[in-house]
Amino acid sequence: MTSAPATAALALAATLLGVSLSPPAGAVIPFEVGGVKLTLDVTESLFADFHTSLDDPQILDEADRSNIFDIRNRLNVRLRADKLTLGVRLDFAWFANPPANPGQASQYQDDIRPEELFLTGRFGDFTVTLGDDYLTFGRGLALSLRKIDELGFATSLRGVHVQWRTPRFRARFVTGLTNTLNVDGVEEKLIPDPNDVVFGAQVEGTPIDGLKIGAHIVDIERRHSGIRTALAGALGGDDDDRPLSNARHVRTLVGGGSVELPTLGDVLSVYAEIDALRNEDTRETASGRKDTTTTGLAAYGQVQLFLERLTLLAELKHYDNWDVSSTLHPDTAQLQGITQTFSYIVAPTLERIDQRVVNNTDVTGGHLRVDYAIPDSTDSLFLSGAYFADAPVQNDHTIHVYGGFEHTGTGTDRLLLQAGYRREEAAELTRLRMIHLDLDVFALLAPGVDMQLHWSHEFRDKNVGTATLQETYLEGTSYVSVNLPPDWSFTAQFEYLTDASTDSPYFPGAIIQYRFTRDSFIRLFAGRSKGGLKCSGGVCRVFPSFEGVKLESTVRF
Amino acid sequence: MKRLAALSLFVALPLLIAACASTNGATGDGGSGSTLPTFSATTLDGATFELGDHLGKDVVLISFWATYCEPCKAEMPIIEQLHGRYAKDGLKIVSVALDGADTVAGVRPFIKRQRYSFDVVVDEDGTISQAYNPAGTAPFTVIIGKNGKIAKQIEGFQASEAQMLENEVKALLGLGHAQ
Repeated sequence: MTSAPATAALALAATLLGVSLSPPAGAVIPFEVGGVKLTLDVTESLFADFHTSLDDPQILDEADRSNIFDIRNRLNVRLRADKLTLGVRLDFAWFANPPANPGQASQYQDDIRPEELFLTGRFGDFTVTLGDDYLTFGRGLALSLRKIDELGFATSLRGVHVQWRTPRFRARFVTGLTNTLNVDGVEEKLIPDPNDVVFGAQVEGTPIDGLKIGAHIVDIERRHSGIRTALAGALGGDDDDRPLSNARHVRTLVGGGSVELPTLGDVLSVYAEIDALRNEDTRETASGRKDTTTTGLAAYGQVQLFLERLTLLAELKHYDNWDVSSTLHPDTAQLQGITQTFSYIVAPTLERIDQRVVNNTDVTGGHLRVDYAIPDSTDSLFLSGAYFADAPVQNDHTIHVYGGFEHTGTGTDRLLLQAGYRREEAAELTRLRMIHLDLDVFALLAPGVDMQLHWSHEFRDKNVGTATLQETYLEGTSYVSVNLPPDWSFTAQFEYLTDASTDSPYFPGAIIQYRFTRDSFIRLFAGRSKGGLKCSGGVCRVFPSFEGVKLESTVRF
Repeated sequence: MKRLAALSLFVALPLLIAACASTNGATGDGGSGSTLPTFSATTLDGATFELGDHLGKDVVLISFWATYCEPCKAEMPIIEQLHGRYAKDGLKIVSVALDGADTVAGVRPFIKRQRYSFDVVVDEDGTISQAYNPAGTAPFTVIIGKNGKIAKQIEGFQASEAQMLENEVKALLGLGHAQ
């Protein structure tokens, strides 16, 4: 780091850090304006990354992606007065020496924008939000716009959300434009908002005690729909009519309903939901545009049974052409090669939260988990099994069985040990054979000294039965943290991935964290972390590997 | 130019909300004197948890967690102990599950299995997080005093701090002094 931009970057980082580390005034800042009581709540997060080598295969020259320094900052402000809350999140990204990509537009761009901006008021049974809001209908099959922090995704609906809620009835209506996190911490590339127009309505009622029924409908007007085009002028443009791969996505309509028996005799709980969708597209053909319509179906059911020592959870799913994602933006897709779209739903996968689920759109399956509480203890044993047809691709099938032991102490110790086996079978080969081991331990080593240990390890065999593609490798993540409350925490991290595509299979790293108050900290990571496909709740993303130094600071005022 | 507009918006909107609040004329929240946002949610037992019923009256502890968060599960026995010891003295605990659609099915079995007795709600839209935990962190604890003001926010869980947390709760309840 000897260049002028790098020096300037370090100076800016030091300044921002200095601001971050100035002593907080307290949990919130109360004040009065014209006799009206107000509170101001501020969360300031700073992320500064120094990449010794940026993992971006689109940048061919090693020199162009070496020693990249960038800063991202999130300033979250909540101003509250009586029944109103104003929220603003100002995001800022700055590259000291943005990686060049000769012949291509740079995807790494400085940026500043209010990423979240909303005004919420609660008036009796009504809640009204103007601006950015997050929402889920049912079990996320029809609409789920939420933050998925583990993957760096956050898509909100920027518009109007009106909700009427009483103890027995809830109705809500939403409309707005989809707004994604434009510069996330994963790829750090500037992504434009999809700006699809969404209309949604949901009603839920409890006609009799113990029975809850609901219905919802969602209309996603895409870039080439009549409504979206008509609104384009008022919304500030972005009415591009260029097709992608000769196809224009026009509209997606989703409708469905749910039935829930939350607690039957305190031993049984049931939930069922069914949804249908209709996609309208047009394609350019030799004889002109041709309209096409596709349909989809999703059904999800869940039964929970609670007995004296046994807890049972059974889930079933059937998804047929169930994909509700954002429109691909033609500017970035055609000029910069960014083909990332954002899911507008989170359909239950029935899998472990971090399981790589590459197909959750055309699949049928079930999951059963049984927990047994060991008498006279706070410990339990569990066994979980799942089967999926047409997974990961059509005509394949997948089984996954795992079980383990869970110890929950009195708040000073906890242990989770589990092991499992997964097999993804195709007609001519076994796509994946995996044995996984997972261990989590919390322990109080001595007064004032905590320890946390995590280890997940996978033995993986891919393409078993093929002469040239078969591969056996290991993948895992482990870390051990020693905490010296209230201030210091030290973590040693070690990841590994021994497949053929990984040049250097070991990823060591270390983290030092200092808490200067109970809710504010600064954290420094140095080392390497592995990339690859990461999933959370069925939403997946390819992460680049990281090599360098990361600094993160969060301060709450 | 866009940056200038964004910055102007950022500066102007807090002033606008202050103006709106003044125009609204009302102060307080049902007489609680709290300016904190309220929320209403259905507990796992089917009851309605209304934060506004407790603001300015009880000490409220909002605990954010998720079924896939191991530190959160390690912390929960401490939350249960606080509930058992101080609910009668005016401590109201609401445990907010951050689970999304994919993992929410595991919330009720976990709570039932552990026999936790405090109120548990699911933040199905993320609106509770928007109000009290904008970063979406778990575990994350917010403690609101009887005066309706946030007294403490705690990020993460460290077992050694259990006693400190209890002392803080006792102090807010008027049962002792924070150490």
